Amino acid sequence: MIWFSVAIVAASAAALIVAYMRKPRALQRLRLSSARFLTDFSPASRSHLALAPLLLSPLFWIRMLFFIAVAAAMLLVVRGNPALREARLGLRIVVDTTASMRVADAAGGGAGSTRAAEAAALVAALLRDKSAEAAAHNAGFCFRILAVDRDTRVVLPDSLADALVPRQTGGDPRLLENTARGEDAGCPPTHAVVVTDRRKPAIAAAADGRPVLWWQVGRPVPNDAIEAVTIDADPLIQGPVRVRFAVRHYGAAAAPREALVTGPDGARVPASETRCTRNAGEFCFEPPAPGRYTIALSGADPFAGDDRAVVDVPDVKALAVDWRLRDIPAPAALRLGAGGEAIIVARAEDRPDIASRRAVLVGGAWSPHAGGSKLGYFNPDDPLLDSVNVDLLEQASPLPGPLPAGFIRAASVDGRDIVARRAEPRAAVIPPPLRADAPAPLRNASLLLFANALRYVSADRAPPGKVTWIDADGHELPDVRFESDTAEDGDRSDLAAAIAPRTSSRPDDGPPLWPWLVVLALAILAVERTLALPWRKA
Amino acid sequence: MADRDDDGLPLDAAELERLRFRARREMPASGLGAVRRRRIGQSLDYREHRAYVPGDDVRLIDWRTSERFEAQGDLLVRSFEAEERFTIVVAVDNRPDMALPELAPAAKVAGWIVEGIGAIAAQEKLAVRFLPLFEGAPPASRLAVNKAVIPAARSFRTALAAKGPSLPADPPALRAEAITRVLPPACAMIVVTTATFDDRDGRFAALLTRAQGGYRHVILALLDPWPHERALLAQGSAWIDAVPGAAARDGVYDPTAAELDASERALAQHRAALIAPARRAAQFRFEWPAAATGLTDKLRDRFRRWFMTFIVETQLFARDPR
Repeated sequence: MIWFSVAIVAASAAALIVAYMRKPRALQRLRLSSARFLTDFSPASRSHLALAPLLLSPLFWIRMLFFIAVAAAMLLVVRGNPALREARLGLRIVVDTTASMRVADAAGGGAGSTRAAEAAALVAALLRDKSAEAAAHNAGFCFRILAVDRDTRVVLPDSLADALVPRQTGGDPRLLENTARGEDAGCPPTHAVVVTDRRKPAIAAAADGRPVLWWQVGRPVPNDAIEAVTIDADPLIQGPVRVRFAVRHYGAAAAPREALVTGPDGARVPASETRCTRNAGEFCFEPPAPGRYTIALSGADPFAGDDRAVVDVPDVKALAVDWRLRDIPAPAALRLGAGGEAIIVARAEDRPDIASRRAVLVGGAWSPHAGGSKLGYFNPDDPLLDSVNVDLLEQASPLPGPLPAGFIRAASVDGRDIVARRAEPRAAVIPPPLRADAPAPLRNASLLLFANALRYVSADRAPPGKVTWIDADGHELPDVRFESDTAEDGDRSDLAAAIAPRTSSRPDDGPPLWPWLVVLALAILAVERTLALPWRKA
Repeated sequence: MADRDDDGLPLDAAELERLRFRARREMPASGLGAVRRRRIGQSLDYREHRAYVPGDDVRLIDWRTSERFEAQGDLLVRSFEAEERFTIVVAVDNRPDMALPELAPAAKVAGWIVEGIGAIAAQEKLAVRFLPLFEGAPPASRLAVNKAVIPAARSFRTALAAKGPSLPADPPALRAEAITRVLPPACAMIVVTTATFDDRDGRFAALLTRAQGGYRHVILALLDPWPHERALLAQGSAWIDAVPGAAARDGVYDPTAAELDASERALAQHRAALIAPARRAAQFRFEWPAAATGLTDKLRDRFRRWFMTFIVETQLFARDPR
């Protein structure tokens, strides 16, 4: 229909142009005194079209403009009418290929069938049915299959089972949504279908208004997972290094599984549920030495990717603190000492000798009144200002006296530096931590600054540990934390009926443009009528 | 505002009077001026020989007698006993296709020439006779002198411009003998024609020869509507109708420039052959404007300028300084 309209418009425009290009000739009967001497003339078969009348006629261009405005308005009306638009089906099929799709829950398939196999069969059936349906309705049909885990890959339909085999990785489910809402110039989608084992989230509509259909495969199966593995290793804190982790159970109640910790030497390390946490299902253990420790759950469950974690415990070198603040007591957890390795914590006004020592100097005094100072330069990436609300620093008084040599400015107030640090040996200058009776925001900021300073000064003594999840074969599974909930129960109804050829809707087109084109055409017509008045031609 | 007479002579009385005085002032270099010759006395009766003086008509030199008296070293010219009135004969092509082109007929321009010459000749007290070249209207006028020239010219022009009901298929016969019979011994015959007719029997050539013999001479006023007709043809989509001597052509034509050039050459060759016998004749060509429309004003303006040149350069009315 659209093409028919376009053909009418094009033919009309061509007729108008040809009408103007015709030479203004009429058949003339001539009686010539020279008739006897005329040679044989060419028959009147030459083209009577010339460009000159077209180019030299302002009225033609005005009339053409009018014509174009009317034609454009008509085309917009035609295109805006859903009943006149051509129906088509463009499928954007997003298939989850994360590790949890390996779960063999036998839903929709034979025994031992994985969720990935179910997804592949579903996609193949969908393509087969919808291509036939589109052909039956004489509608256009195209599709694009995308495999999504941590990455997005285009998959060809002739090897779905192989291409949709889950990979050794987890994946953020938001990537599935974003991919489904994506655009595709090669196959403009009318429908997006997400085939995954996750429960349907609340999905915002795509920009073009197309539906995003969430097709959950598999069935809920219980799963136990090792989660939230952290390493408590601080050189300033008294006590051993601790590794904390949680064993989370998803799905129906099942017999609790034991978390077994194995040290670098293969010896079993006891993990306690009550020693270092108060929450059920959370455990900790104290590695006796640096090295690789393995946490594994006893028994088996449908998804084994989160049953085994490896913790690389760093070699933490303890540091003592030489606490010289007379008016502020040292925190109880700190390891105190006075040796040459100890970190000096003192007031800057005391001018301790920190030339070759780690140190945290506190200087000046907080003056908690609003608008007293003006924040100048600050480096938001400086480790001393990590998570600190720098606006609060405007309420700090300036540091008295010049900075010691070798310090790098991190923040300044009223043109004077109040936060600074030194790289070697590590040292920091900060405003002093406030007492408990100080206003909470200021006190929290001062304590955070102090903690940041201590962490910075001692950081090189405790390298970060590393936690990875591995499968039974020892292969790493990144982002497996997204995969553990295999018991999600959502709407698994057949969505194929909701996928049918449709005309593309354009909800974002805004107010219609064609009325303005009609107004423009009328204005052009008025101008044309004025210019074409007979008395103007006289 | 009074309506303008588009068929009337494009020159008004004042312009004609100025033109007459200008024509009288222009001195003939060759001594062929009609008025001058009339005053010398070119009768047919021989009186004596006298010595040639610069300014004498070289045609009056008696070469044989001059050779006999070679010892005296002078050329001798003949003088005549009595002078004869010099006559202007205007022979006008009156074929039916002089009614063409339809927008600006050649007959109209010929009529302007007739009336213009008549008006000046009347003031100069010359005898004028208007003759049709072919059988048919208008009839030959009587020899008119002085003021009688004007009504004779006007009557001849009116009859010339009258159109017949249709163009006959066959061309009329040339009145060569009839014209020859009435040619005075001393006259200037002005032939006004489009020169598009055939002279298969040589009678037109014979007429020209006779009109150039003795003390007669011929002035050819060639009317050429071709530029206008070419402009009509160049518009294309033309149905070429029948005219005397040419049948209608079937179909509609859109001639190319090359075809029009070829036609122009054919026409020019025909004209050149037709007037070839008038070897000693002065030729004045009047061309129609090369326009298909809006012809009236252009034609009148062009004729006004052409006629002034024609009258002056033919020296018909030049005076003898002696």
